[in-house]
Amino acid sequence: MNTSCRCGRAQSLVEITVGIVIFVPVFLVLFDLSMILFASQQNENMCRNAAQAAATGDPAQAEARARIVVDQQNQSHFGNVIPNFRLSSPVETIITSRPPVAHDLIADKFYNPGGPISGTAIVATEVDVKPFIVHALYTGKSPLTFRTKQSFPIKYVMPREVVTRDENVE
Amino acid sequence: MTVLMSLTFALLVGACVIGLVVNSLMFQRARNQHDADALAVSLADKLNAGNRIGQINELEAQSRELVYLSRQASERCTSEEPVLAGLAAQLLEESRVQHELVDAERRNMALSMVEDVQRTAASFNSGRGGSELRLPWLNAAPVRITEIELGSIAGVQSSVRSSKLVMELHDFDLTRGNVDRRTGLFNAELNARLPEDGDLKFVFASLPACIGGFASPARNTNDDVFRSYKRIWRDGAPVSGVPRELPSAVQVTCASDVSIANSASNHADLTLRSTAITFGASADEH
Repeated sequence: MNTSCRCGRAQSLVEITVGIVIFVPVFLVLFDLSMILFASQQNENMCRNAAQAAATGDPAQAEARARIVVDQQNQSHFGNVIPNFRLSSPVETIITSRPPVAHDLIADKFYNPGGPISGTAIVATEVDVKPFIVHALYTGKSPLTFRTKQSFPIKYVMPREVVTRDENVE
Repeated sequence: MTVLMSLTFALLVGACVIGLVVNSLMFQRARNQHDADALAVSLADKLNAGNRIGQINELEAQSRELVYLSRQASERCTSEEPVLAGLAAQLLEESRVQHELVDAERRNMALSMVEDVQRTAASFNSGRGGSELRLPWLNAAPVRITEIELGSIAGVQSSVRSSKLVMELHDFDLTRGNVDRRTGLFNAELNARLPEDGDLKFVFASLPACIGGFASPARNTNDDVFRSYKRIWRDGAPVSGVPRELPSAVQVTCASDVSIANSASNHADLTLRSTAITFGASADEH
């Protein structure tokens, strides 16, 4: 009876050991894949928000607005899990139409009559992910970098302003 | 023990697969919503191109004042200055004819807006430049435009303020409810008939007014506040017709083909909607 009891226990121990040897790497791979998926999705969500922020306002300050969104992401509770979000400079703004400069003949001044600016703001962001085990399966490099690019139409109406002669020359 | 662990493992894998499919679906929906929002803003941008809605509103107001003052002058001349009555009557007639030109231009502008939006929609559908997703467990095609409605946003008045140069007309408008007492702006989508020339139609388009020299930019809005004038795109094809008023907002309905696990039977359309209002009236140049 002692022999059969010991054999039973030994069999359980072997089964548990084999199970752990298989289960732990699988669990780590699943965890790594989850982190990679989470990071790439967060990167894309953040890039979309950054593109919308860049498109809302003066195109000259688009990069500053996009950078604020990225900094907020890094400081948020998601940033505690994956803190390595980056903005790829420069933020591209393609202007398709803007109000032309006009000349006030009476005051002899050039001025911008103001009006809507049409175009697209394009923002690219990156995130670094440091997996436990997955990177060893194909590249061996860590961290893994994921990049995404998003665009949004520019929504800005220029106010009326006087321009200097230097600004008028293009 | 082995059986138990295998079962647990299988359940875990099954839960992960289901979670992956749902997560990917939600993620693609967020991407498609972003594409729909960007599309709605770019379509709305075309409605007030060159501040044409703001300018036609100003023309309507000025034409209305001209007809009113010409009518007053004609009546005064008829009773007090018969020598000038003929000339005053001619000026009144000219102001009425000119208003009909303004009205015709307003209808022409509505047609032009519809054509601009339809052309952009056709170009978008043929290019299909939105985001797509191709995974072993989920396929999602880029969005395509299925419906477009033109209209306005509830609670947005016209961009024209009632001029207090003609106080009689201003008081008349306040009494009749043509002008909002608090803002002084003409109410939109209302026929601000004149007392004597009731056969002429004076309608002001809904458009955010210029405040302190600043015009409001084009932006996305809540779907619930959109009021439709006319559907101009249905089932992926243009619909003929012109909206009854000049539209200042657009509502776009998009769809994306989604199939799970590359299966033809697990196939559905993911529908999204986005609303945007055009940019407001620009500052007056004089």
